[in-house]
Amino acid sequence: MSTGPYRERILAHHKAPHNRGPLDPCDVEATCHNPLCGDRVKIQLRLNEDEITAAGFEARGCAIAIAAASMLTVKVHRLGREQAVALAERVVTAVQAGATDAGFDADLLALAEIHAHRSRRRCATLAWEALQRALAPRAVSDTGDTGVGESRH
Amino acid sequence: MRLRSQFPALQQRVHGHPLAYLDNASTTQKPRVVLDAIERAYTSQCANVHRGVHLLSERATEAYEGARDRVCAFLGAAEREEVVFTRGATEGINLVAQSYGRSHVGVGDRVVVSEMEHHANLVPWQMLCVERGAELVKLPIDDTGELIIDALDELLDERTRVVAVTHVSNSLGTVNDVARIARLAHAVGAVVVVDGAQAAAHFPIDVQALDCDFYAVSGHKMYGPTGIGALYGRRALFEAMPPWQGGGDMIERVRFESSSYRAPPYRFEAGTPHIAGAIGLGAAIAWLEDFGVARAGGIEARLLALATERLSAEPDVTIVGTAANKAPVVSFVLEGVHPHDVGTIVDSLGVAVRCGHHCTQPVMDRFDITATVRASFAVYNTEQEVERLVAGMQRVREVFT
Repeated sequence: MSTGPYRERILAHHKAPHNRGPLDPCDVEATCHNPLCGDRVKIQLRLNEDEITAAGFEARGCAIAIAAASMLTVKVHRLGREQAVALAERVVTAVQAGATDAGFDADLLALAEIHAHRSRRRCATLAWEALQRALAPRAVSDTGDTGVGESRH
Repeated sequence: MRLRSQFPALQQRVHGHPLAYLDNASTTQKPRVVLDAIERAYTSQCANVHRGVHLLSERATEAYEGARDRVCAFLGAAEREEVVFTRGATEGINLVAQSYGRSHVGVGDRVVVSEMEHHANLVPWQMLCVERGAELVKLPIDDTGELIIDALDELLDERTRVVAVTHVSNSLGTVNDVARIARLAHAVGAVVVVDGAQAAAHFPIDVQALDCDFYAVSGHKMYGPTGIGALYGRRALFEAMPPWQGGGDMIERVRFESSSYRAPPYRFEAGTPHIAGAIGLGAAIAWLEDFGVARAGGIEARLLALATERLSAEPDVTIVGTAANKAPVVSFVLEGVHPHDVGTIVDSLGVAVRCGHHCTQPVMDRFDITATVRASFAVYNTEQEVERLVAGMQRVREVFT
């Protein structure tokens, strides 16, 4: 029987998420809400100059949202700001448009496959949108109660 | 004709399984007679209403106004002038908030809204209270999801202008004692605005017996089309209310500087209405009355009882909303699994349920959850479909443990 969006990599990250819990201290953070379901994901980052030296997340969400956030905190470790933002764009594009990316590992490929489940795409992108918001110019902190992150579906 | 075979949408398979559609509180499926009525509206009757002198316009007007008569009788209204066609319950409530509300609610006045309201019967009152400088007051619910009606003794005062309450909670299933609330509200001179969207398909409605002042319904939740609904309003109130939207069909005489307006219901129906929608709604009511509203409610009550019994027997399932008097809605959470994940898994088994906050975030806050899985039943559902939902919980556990 098909497991739908619940590939092994998604379930593994959901069962044993990486870097879950508050990151204290942190340099930047942002939260994105999904108004359709009330879920929320907060991404926190510690920066050394432009390099991400630690990443953490807190989430009230489904398996996909938690797996995506867990994957994110692993992938962005030691990336520069611009690299992290570029990766977030690639992931969001992959999930929303279904574009495959040769640079994706098994985790990100599992995430990209969520594209096939239209009603669940936002679950996969929520953490990455929070990352984009956290690293956006001038965003020292952002509660994310309103704004572009919420207007997308 | 057999019941299920009258619903084309129920004949399909999803993900390789027969469709078990348990999301009827979101929208019901439509019987063939409703689809045929809509098609006729666009073929042999397609013309604008209230305008043309030609035959097709006369047919359209007759069918449209005939639908108003059906809604009037269905809701137990005294007069057809008390029925305004709207886009749905949401628009009906907004009409009341913006027309009645703006002309009757002022600085320091109170608007009492229950904690279990759909956002459609909360946000319009928030907007009104901000605009008018009025106070928004919460009528709370208890742990079973019942309104604490006794609290009205303290909440209602001579400054209370409006009490807004749902007849049936879309996320908890609770059926509220609207007649009692109306008695208490009227004692302080407040009007009662009832969201009837979740009630109308499940038991007979009698707005006169309820003694409410406004009652809003949506066609698509009672086997009719989307984009059409109706608002009942007590005639004396409608007649004293200013227009809401301006345009054609709602005016008596227009001069460049100013206009005079028609009497209700036309005062509140600016522009070309959703003619085919109203005709479709009329057909849906005719279908439902032919089947029997009380008979439908009896079938649904048995499905609710079965679902409640089966889900309660699952040790990791918690039902949210355990009121004594419930419409066929069962909301629940499965321990350790997010409702959306439950919904996606059971969807893969052909079972359609709603997951999320159901546009009732204050209810979710009240029970300290973000979401539930909600199964809601209609007359065409079967015991076997309930069993498929419950069996789906085992599949969910297999994936997530």
